[in-house]
Amino acid sequence: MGSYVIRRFLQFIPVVILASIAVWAIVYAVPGSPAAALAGENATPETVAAIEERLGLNRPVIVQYFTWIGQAIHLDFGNSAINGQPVMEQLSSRIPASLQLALFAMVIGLVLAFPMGVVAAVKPRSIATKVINLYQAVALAVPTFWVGILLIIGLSVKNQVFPAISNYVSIWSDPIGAIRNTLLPALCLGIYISGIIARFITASLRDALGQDYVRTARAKGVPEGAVISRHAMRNAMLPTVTIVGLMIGEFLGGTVVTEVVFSYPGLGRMIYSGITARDYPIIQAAVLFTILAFLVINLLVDVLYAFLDPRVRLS
Amino acid sequence: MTTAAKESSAAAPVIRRATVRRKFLGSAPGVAGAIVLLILVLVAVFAPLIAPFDPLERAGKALQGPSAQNWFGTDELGRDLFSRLVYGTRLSLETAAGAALLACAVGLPLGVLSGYLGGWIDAIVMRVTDFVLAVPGILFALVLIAILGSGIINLILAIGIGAIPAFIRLSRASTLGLKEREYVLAARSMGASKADIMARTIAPNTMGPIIVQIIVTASVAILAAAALSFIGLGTPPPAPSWGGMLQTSRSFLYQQIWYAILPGVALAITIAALDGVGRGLQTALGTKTTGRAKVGGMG
Amino acid sequence: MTDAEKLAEGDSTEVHDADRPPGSGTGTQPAAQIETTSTEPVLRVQNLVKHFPIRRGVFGKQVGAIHAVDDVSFDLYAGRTLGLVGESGSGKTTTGRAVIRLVEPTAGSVMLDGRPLTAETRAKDLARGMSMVFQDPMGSLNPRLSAVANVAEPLRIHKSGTAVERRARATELLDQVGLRADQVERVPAEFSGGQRQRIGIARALALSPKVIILDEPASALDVSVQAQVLNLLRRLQSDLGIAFLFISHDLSVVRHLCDRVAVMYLGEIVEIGDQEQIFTNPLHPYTQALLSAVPIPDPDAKRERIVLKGDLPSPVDPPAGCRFAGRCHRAQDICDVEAPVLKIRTGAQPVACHFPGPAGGAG
Repeated sequence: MGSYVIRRFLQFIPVVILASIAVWAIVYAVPGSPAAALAGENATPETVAAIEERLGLNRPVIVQYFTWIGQAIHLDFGNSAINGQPVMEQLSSRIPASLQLALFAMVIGLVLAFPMGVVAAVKPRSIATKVINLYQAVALAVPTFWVGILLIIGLSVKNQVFPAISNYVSIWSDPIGAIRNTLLPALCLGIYISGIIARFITASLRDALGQDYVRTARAKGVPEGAVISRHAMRNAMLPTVTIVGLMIGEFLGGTVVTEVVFSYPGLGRMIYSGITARDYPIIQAAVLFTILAFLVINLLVDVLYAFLDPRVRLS
Repeated sequence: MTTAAKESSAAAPVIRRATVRRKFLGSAPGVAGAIVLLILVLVAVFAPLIAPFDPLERAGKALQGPSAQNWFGTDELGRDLFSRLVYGTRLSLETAAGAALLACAVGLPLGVLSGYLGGWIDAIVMRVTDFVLAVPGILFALVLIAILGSGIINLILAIGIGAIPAFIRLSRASTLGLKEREYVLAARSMGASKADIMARTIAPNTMGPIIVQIIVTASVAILAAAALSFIGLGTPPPAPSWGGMLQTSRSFLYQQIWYAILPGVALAITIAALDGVGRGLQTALGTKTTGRAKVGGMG
Repeated sequence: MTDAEKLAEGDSTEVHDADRPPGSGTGTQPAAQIETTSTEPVLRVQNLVKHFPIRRGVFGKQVGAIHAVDDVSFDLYAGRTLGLVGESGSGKTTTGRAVIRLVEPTAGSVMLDGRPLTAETRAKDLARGMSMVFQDPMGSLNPRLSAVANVAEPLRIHKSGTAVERRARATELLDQVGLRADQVERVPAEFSGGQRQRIGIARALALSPKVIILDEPASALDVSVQAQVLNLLRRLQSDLGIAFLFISHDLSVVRHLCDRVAVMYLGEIVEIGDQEQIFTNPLHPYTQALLSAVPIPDPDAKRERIVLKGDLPSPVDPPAGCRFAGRCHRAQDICDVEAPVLKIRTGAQPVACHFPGPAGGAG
């Protein structure tokens, strides 16, 4: 176990380094000098000079990278080129908003997916399964942003039940307001992932139901409901937990379009605004955080998986 | 001789073109998807013959509902929506094919190389792959477009590059399995060079899952292209992209509701068709989705 | 002292199995080989060793080695067949693969036609002298290529002739192994097991090699088909004068096909001799045990079945003395301490045993 965790961690480090280099290099890839890119279009020569000084842009490239990463480790990504505020302030206000959206979406996705996945696995030839398959195909085929438009047409424009522009309202301070503001974007994402998760549950549950220990349980006369819930389900949940973990990782920053549709103030929209406004300090900070969050969640999921399923460690 | 069946069951999965065809034709989603996809391809190819109007020119009054002249109505500039949708099909399929083939053309050789040679090449390729997979697909494309600028070629590049790792993973995994197969050993015993073995013996035998992945990538690319155009970073106007049309339609929800609905339907039909073909191929080739499901079309 | 060191000292009674030029032994003389008066072996394997390292931990430190092949030597003459027999795990397949360099030997030398093969020998040069037929006839053919394309592969790799000429040659080879011209466009999946193995054999013939390594070529086949394939091999050998290294666990097949037989146990050759010597007068207790397990057609023949006790020891840490000692009914104290060397002890064939002798004559 220890050896597996160490090996997994040693794979994690170079990827993090690579990610930091890639994010750092963004400003070098765009036309013009990096300092001008970081300072923004309307910057004064003094601002540009200050950034050049701060990042040591007259020194060798290697030194420039280490200067930048040294500041990044201390959570210093400089100031926004648009409003001059420290980038970290904006980032730290966006993270809880994205997290809340991701968790809402995941709850919706799981609530929708779970019964579908189980029914499709247990009764593969029933009419219900055919309907479920159709739903899954539609859920996967319909772009989330279009679902967003339809939801806005149906629930905001015509009925005014939900606001068409979502704000971030913390679930702890105002649960009702949080649900009103977060439900529509979360529903968009939840419907989409419910198709994927349901297919996962079906596949792994079917797999588990074909195993010898399930046949043994049936042969012993264990009622079918108990066979599924107690014997098969446990093993089938493992891959599902993995995919759910990975999706949450993907959601932090990966839900750009949905956030744009609903004007939801998450990480995705922060990156989007950064890109449209060419605010590179914002892009760098948000993208690096997104990648790190994904990698850390990935690592945790893998370690957890290895902890629960000893076979993984040996491979 | 009587023993063919007995032996082949124990040995490698037997690939017979006739069997694959029969299994594919037996899969309902596969057949339905293939028919729809064929129609879409025909629409894309013969767009000038099918579309009654030039997609970029005025063809009636602005924001009109469906009528005998403009079957799906008109947009805010009075252009014919049906014609724009037809040309949008061409745009979507071009992007999808471009991105999928680019990703395959780069990813397949890299994966085979990485899996067959191992060592430091493998280590480097795998870490770079891990990194690209750690960036949400849409974000990766977004940042690339921020660097490259918008336009259809850059769109294809941005989406295609992000899709390379999946091909690397798949072909590498197949290669690791094939490497110790006796026919690869046989090729080595014949004195074949490593390059020859990779190109002639291994790469063609990894094609099953790769074909499925091409279809998956095509559908992810269509969704991603639509999403990017929707937020104004894909194909710039006045090109008739489905995502761009949906974006503009949001300002006219009260006046022309079809404007907001039909491009979405077109997208959904295309994606569903590709999904069906992909599932049919999976059934026919007996491949399972390997690696992680990349949540690509999200956003 | 290890076996290798002992052998290197050059004790006159120790052998490299070089004592058997063709014509001096039993067995029939192949027609094509009559003009071969040379006594040089076409394949000479000396002190071949293959250890697979075992790596553990984060940094892949080597913690041990699987002794797959340990100090194996033999000679093979043109037009003759040497059988390499043993249980699974005895190292016979690895020996074959190390000879044709599908695995890189840890130590030892292989001479093909008088020239040493080294790590620098180009794979293409090696392939012109030696080819291989694999056990699994389906697995060893490229499933995407037709029969004729599979057979033409070695010719293509060696850039011999034009594509059309290669096809013609491949079709000719397939005809030689009994496949009709109208069948050659099919892919491997469309053939029976026996036909597939014929394709594999035709492919092995394509570059006109001097030696073919046959790794259990018939064991995946039904008995009736087996006989056809073995007869084909015999015919090809007498027509073409090719030498066979025949790897098998099936003693009755080996008896049918081989001129000489080497018995392997846990990576080592424990006994080597003419087919007749091995089958009628085996000296090593392991050979005797193996032979006693072969069913004999004569119901009246009295023979005691020798049942080996215990399992094959782990090849990771082979016993220090005789590797067979733990399962041997003749074992004495010396067997656990000193490894016996393959040498002539009783005036018959070389045997690696401290107490060799006819079955039943326990020491």
